[in-house]
Amino acid sequence: MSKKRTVKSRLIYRQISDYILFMGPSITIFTILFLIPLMGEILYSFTDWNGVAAKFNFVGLYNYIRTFRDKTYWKAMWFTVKFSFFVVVISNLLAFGWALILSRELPLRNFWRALIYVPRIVGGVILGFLWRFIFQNVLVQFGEWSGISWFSQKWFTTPESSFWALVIVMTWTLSGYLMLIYGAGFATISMEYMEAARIDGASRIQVLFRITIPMLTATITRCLFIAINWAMLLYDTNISLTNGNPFRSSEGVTMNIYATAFKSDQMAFGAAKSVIFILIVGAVSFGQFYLTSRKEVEL
Amino acid sequence: MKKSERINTGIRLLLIAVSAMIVVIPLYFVVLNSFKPYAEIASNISAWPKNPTLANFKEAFRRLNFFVALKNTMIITVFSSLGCVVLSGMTGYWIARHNNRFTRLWQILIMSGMCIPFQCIMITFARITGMMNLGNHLFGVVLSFWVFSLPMSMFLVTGTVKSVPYEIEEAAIIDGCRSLSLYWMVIFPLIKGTIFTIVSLNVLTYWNDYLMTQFILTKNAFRTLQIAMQSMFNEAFFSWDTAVAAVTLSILPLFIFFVIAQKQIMDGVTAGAIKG
Repeated sequence: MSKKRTVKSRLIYRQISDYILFMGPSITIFTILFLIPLMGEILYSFTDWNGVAAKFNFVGLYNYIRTFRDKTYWKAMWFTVKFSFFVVVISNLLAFGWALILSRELPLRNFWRALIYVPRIVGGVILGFLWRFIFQNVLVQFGEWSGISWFSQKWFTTPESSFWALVIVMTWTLSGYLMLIYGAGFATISMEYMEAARIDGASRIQVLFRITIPMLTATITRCLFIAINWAMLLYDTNISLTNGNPFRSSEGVTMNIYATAFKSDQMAFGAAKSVIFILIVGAVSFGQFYLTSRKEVEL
Repeated sequence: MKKSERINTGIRLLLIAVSAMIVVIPLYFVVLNSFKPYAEIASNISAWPKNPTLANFKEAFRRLNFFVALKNTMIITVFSSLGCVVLSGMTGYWIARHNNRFTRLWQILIMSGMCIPFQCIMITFARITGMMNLGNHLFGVVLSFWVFSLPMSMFLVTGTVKSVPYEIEEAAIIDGCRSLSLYWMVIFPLIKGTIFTIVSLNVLTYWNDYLMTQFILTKNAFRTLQIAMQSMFNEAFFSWDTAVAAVTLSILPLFIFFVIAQKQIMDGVTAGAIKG
């Protein structure tokens, strides 16, 4: 009897120690550096904490009301939404086109893929600095040489130029990555469906819209999801390329939150802004996910 | 090959070649001009350098404190990748193989990290890392990367482990294999492909992160490449000849990595796309 119990308790002990070994470290650091900050962010958004003081009071929805009244925040939000729209549409169209071209046999296929993917390795603030050189030097000289004044404008001094500069840069770094994902999608479709449709007399355009695109819905959903997330969370490139110029007109939401929380020391206000931001990003991504994944076809 | 098909291939080749050229041309201009003195950049930006010089690089090296920044970035990338593989692999495996309330709860909690961006927790994150004294320590960044790359990586591991037949494990258990050696000797070799995918996806994030790193590393001695670049460009006085060389220098390491491991990286991205 007692022997049986020790065997059993040793088994339980062994199992618990396995759980600690396999899940303990991950759970611990994830709780400390992710779950607690997340809870804290929500908690702080209902207080008047300034980030320095030891004490704070609960102020209810005050910070949220302030956020709704804050014009710079909604200007940044509108900027982010508009920016994301153009980036998502342009980069997905380009990526889809390139993947379509590369989906069939072509000389040097992998070489072209690698070249188009290369911009992905440039990231963070370096991406913005690289393009500042291109806009402020290369394009200006090109404009003077070719006589097209759009190129030789004073970049980052008008809201439009800053906006389009950011769209171009983000599209540049994102399209190659999406192209690879679309490529993976194309590889999973069997060519037989297309060939059968072609034999039945469907034109290339019809095959594209009636067969290829419906069969790629899962991939399209995924690419849109990635692009929306990347574009809406813009920060590094924002500060290094335009830094909000001119007059905070090219400021994305993250930059706005950062300025509120860390430059003017209104942590609680910034926390309320980020809570609203996460809700909006979540709503957009899942709305998109819901709309496109409904159209998925199964075979 | 039929004639119409040959024309078709020709058009596609032309389109893709032109696209690839447009995509790569900014990089070409940056590299080309980093070998030129400023006068030549200003007079003709597309010309081949008349007096090729390394002076720009020398100045950029000094200003960026390049070797220190490169060393810090490499330490962070290597240790973040190693830790991420160990943690997400073991936890992902355990969750995939033990389906109970506890593991399901944690699976949902950790996966929620995929939908909640760093931006939304950064204010309290900065506060907590400050309280834990993680500031100005490379390990602080490494630890944070383990946390932030866990959700995505674990997701990929869990998916792959489920496709490994359980009979293999049963056989190993009968042969006396205990949990830890079971994972590292039996399962890990089988999911190596996914592990590689995880690494090739994460390395770019580790290497290029700016927003999170700047909360933790503020001292000069701990600058990463990204932070060194930002502070160099923030200095009031800089000229484009040095700046462009600095950009070339800071892209170079990852570019070399890409050229060497090109096939694996691109296969990794593709595999990640299908599994995810």
